[in-house]
Amino acid sequence: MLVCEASSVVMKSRTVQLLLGLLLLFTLSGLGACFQQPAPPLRLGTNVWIGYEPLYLARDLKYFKPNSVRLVEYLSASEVIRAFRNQALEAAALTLDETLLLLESQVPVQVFLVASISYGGDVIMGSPDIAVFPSLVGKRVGVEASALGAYFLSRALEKHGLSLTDITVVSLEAGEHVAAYKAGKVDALVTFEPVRSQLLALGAHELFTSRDIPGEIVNVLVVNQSYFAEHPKNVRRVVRGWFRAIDYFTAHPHDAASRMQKRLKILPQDALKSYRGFRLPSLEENQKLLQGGTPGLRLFAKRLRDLMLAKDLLQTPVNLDSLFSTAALRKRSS
Amino acid sequence: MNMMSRYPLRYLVIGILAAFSLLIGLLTYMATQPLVIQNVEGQAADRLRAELTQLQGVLQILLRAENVEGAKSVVVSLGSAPEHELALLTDATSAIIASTRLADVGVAWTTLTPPLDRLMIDQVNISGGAVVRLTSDSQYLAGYVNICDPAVTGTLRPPQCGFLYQRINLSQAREVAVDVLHRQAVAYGLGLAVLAGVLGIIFHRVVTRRVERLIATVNRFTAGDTAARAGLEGQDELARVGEAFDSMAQTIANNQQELQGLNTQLERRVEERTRALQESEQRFRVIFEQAAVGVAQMASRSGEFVRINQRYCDILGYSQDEMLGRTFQEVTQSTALPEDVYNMNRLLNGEIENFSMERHYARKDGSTIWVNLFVSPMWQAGEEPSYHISVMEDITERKIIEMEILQQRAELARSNADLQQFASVAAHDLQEPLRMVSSYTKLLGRRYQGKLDADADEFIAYAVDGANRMQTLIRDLLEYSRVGKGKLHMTMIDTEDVVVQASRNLQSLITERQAKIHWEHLPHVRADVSRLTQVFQNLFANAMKFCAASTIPCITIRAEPRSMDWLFSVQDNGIGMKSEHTTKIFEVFQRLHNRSQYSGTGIGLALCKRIVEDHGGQIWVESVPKKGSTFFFTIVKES
Repeated sequence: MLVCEASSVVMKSRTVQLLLGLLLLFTLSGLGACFQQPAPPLRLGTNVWIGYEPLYLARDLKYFKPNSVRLVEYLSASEVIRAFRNQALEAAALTLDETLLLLESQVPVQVFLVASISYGGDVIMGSPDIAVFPSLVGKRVGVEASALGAYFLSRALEKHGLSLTDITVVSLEAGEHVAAYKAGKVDALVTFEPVRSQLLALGAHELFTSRDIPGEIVNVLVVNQSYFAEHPKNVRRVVRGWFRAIDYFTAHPHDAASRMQKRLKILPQDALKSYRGFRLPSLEENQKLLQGGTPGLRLFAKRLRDLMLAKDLLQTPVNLDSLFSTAALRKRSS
Repeated sequence: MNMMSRYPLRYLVIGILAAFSLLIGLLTYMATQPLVIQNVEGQAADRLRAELTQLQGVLQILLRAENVEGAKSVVVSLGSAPEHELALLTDATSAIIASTRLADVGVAWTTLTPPLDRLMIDQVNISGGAVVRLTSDSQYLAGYVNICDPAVTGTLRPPQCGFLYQRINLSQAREVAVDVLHRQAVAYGLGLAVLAGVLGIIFHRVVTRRVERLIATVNRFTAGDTAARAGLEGQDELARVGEAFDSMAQTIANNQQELQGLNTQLERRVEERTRALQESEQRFRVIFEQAAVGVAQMASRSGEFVRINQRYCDILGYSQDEMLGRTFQEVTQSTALPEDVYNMNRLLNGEIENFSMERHYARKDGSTIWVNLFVSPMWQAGEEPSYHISVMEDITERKIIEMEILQQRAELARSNADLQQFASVAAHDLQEPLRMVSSYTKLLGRRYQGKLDADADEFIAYAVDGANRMQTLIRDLLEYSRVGKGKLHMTMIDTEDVVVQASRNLQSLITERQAKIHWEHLPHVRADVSRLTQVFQNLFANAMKFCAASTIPCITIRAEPRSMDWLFSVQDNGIGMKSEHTTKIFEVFQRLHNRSQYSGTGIGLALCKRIVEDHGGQIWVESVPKKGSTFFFTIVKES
């Protein structure tokens, strides 16, 4: 201040400091409140599939902070996609082809975790009279009218030097597979667990499995890109909870399986058996798959995209540049 | 208020405004929060009711068509609702058909934890309408609706007729609402704080800064800078205070300046006075110390010498140290002391203002001296006597001379008396034989005229003449001695009468010489009338005697007043005299001419001189030869 020489006007510094301090505290608390806007919870939708169970295991084990991650239990993938597209969800567990479809519909989607890699879980089952894959030529092959089915079939055909024209494609919903096989409507089926086990029991055998194309058939966790940008914390929480649940699963498989039983209504041993068809990639594996290098998801996605374009499953060549993100995998500090 | 006034205004105002804004923010927050929460709850309940109503319809249709999967899908999709906690659908047997928690499907709702509200479910079953209520812990909003209300009967009634239960978590909505409120309150508070700051700054600009300026000015002024002025701008009260101060300061400064001027003047005057006093003191000291007379300051009651100069000591033959502290009684001879004490007492009693006395003192060495002592008090009339000044003059020599003079005068008087006695006796005794000589010579002349030879006649004539002159001479001499011896009879007389009498005495001579005598306005004087007549008579006679025979004597008498006396003049047109003779003529028996030319004894003017001097006057003559003489004499005025 300008005038300090008047000794009679001695500032009672303690009181003034107290006042100023109060004012500052008040101001800062107000400002803090502005920045500390409570993040809306991350709604993560899944359909019923055992591969996504680590998420529910994490919820059951209270690995998610309350009001941070909410799992929404849909009965089918199409419901999940619908909800995600309608932005009723911030995140979803999807297959890669479903992800591409979302991308086409202008939903800003980003893959932040590879949940599982199909490793024998996806199969082409043939009737006993079809001994080897090339015997499929001219045969009726039942397949879901989905991108995944198409992709898997085309990859299998590709691997054996065949093309779609060599076979007869029969479109069948997943629920119809067993019945169609029993009725003799199809000679082979592009299918997955638990149909696979049922078909095996009916005498069918595996002609081609996802083990033959490792890493190409994957389930991923996706997130709305703008939500991710605004609230990366909750996304990281999902990743952390996911890996903690896997650790728990590894350490206590039976307890984990019995917990799964409540939801899936299957016996623990069946649940554990189901896990033979796929692998849960580790954090490091995730890093590799989601990074730009090869072999990476980008290549498979590109291949899938092209196929889907060819099949008219995709109308536009979607841009895959920012589809994959490793941001949620990194430690918070980095 | 006392506590408040301890702080500078600019902080106080900001502090009060800040506290005010804080309080307003808090009050707003606290007062609004319950309302906001209530509002959140109300809105959520309304939404839930609407949702339940809608779902009731949808589920009725789906279940009537036995589309359980569809019903499941509808229920499951509720899981993504923002405030969703739980949604489930039961069948008529209490089993859960669908739920947002997959794990609940297939189990009875009665086994759920936390349990559902049976009362509400009963109510729902009875009424068929939706019931929405806060759970007992207020955290959730629970809503129940019967899928098949009692009105739905017959074919319209689906086979699965349970209820739909939905639980909404309000905590998030509450948090958000409270957060919004919080932010509003903070923004409000901050806005007020900013306003407070701005007000504070404005206040500082408008008031505090000027108040501080005023204070600084007052301090400067107090510290002695009388040129300090606040000079506050504006028209408000503060500016008026500033103006008032400035005008006060101006007045004070003017007064001070004036006072300073007066002070300087006063100092200068004091300085002058002091210097004058010092000079006077110096002069006094010099006079005191160097005085030709002895000066002493004495305590009047005790008679002690307080201050004394060297001369005083010298006169008495003591040193200053010996004198100081002694009393005058100690140095005064006992014979003179009574007179001293008498005079001193009269002085102390105020009967006299001072006194002076001649007396003798015994010096320290025993010798005696005569002094003149003058004593004057230093106190004013009516005051308690303090000191007096004693001035002492050594008059021993004068006293000796005086006594010698007295002695001589006495001797002179005696010899004069002797001489007069002798003259008188001689003249008187001489007259008798002379008269015999004169008578017998005359007789001889008359009897033997012509009988003897011519020489004898001439000799007898000479003898007669001689005898006559001898007689005149003796008569004059007798007269002269008588004048010196006799006493004067002083009376007021008219000089004109005296002149008339003198003329009358000389009438025969005047007639003979046809002389003319004039006078004009002669005064009254105090004198011996016969003597003064003799003076005029002698002067007139002289004038006529020493006048050429061919000339008619003309005498004029005048009298002129002077400061102390009258100056008389007697002017004639006689033969005059040379200036060197003008004193000689007043001596006894002195004559300017021989007897053959002008007769006379040479006593007349000497007699005039004696008479005038006896009257205290003087006589002299001014004369031009052959033109005439003017005799002047003075007679003292009657005082």
